[in-house]
Amino acid sequence: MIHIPPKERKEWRDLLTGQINVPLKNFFFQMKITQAKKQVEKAKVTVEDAVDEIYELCVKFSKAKYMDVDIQNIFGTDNHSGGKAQDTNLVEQTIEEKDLIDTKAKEKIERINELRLKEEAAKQQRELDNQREAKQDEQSTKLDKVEQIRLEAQRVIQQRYEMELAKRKMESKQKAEPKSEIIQSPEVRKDVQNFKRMEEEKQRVKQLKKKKVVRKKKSGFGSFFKSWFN
Amino acid sequence: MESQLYSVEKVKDLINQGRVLALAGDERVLSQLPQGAWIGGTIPYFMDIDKGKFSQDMIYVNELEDADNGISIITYDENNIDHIVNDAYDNGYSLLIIPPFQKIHHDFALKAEDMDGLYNNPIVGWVCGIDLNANDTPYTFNGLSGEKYPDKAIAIHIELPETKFAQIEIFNIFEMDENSPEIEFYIDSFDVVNCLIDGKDTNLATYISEHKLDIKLPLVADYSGASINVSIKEIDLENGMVSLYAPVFQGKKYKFAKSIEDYVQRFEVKTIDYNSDAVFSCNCILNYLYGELENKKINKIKGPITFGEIAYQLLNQTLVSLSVDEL
Repeated sequence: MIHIPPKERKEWRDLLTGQINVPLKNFFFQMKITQAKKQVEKAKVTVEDAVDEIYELCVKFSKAKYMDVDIQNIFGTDNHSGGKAQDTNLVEQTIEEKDLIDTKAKEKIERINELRLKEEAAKQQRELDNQREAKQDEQSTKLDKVEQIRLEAQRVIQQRYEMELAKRKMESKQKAEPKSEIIQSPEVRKDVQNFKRMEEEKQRVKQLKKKKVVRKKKSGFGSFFKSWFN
Repeated sequence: MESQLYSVEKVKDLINQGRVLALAGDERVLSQLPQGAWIGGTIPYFMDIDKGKFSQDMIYVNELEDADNGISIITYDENNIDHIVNDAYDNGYSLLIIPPFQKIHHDFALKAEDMDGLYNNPIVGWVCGIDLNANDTPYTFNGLSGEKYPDKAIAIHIELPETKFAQIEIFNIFEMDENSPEIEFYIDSFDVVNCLIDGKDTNLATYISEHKLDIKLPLVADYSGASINVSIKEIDLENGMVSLYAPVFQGKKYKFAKSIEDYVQRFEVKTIDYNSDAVFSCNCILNYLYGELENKKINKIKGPITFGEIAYQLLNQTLVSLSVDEL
């Protein structure tokens, strides 16, 4: 039986932020992680909420095919209680558990596991705190800047979009041209360019699809189906 | 009960016994069935227990066992398809059949990934179809009400006992060609005019034509290790548009698939782990056609041949399988 590591483990977050980038094998896990990464990237959910959801689902589907392999690849070998992944600690745990079976074993094992999980979580937390303190200044500056760029980029894209839709004159466009260094960054320029292209692509597809509908009506439903595969 | 093709009379018996069934067959045979706990979709192509077959007389039957706890059969259109996740049981699975190239097909394909709770339980299923040499209309069937629909999807939600869980597996013979350029799309769409190919704004139809790319090969995206295909339906060079069997998504990076020398051999290798006891499985019509699977047997692959496969989302050129296992 596979043990799903507690959600306090850093690896869950790393999986969503791309710091851990291992190819997964379980189909549900592959799809869910892909969806969650996208949602986090688009700020639809927080990393913490995404981790909560993924953790619960991993527990639910812990016996699904390849889930053990994926968990092992992400968290290392100390998360299994059977098979190849057994290490010294786990062997000791197994012996200990056998001894306890006759004397309220279940309760004690539960308590031990609970303590172990708490210890593990606390250890992780301590590590995180230490790392955070050590890199606090650097990280906060970086994060602020990244967030600032992201928000600024979003704002600029939205602004451009509205401008496109309203078909404002060139003068007003120039007036609204981004001025700060952040806004003029190549990334933002690229986003704006892509956004323009996105709008253009929408228009092109819309126009051509209209044409196609007319053609489909003329040729009839049956021959339309047949034509797909010819 | 073994999943395979059965006669209409046999299927009538099964329905009258109160069996919970997912059925696939020609419209004319499905229309003869009595009301009961079943859903169905039209298709005359199958992978039966012995080989690939075309049949308009027999019905492919998947008995949905472990359905004692609860079932519900619900019809969906574009207005309520996003309820499908909430309509499912806490522990179970949903089997969905969608008519092709209707609004419901389009909407499900584009919206599924954004549905909250999509991965709480497996959603598996297929897009129904017709004989490619006929002018028939594809239908979905709600066995409970006795109705059939050209434009609505039908789903059966199954509640599993606490001791069991359902899981989906996919088998994809395609993988990204590492030498392919990277393709990114501007919008989520079934149709593409321009896109970014290796970062350069390019007309996809022209690119495919100029590079003489084989359109039997799908575009492939990497979903955290899963190769997800989008198959090419047609290229309209006159207007410079490429139509697809499933949508491409903005923000995803696609590559053309690596070419396959021997389609059947590749299938045999890739499906070596296929579980023939799966509750449900289906395979793509493009695999059936390009692999010339009629009269061929590949491992123990079974199920209806479909105009699109559903494994949480709409897939192309993929074998999808759902199994129920003990916890």
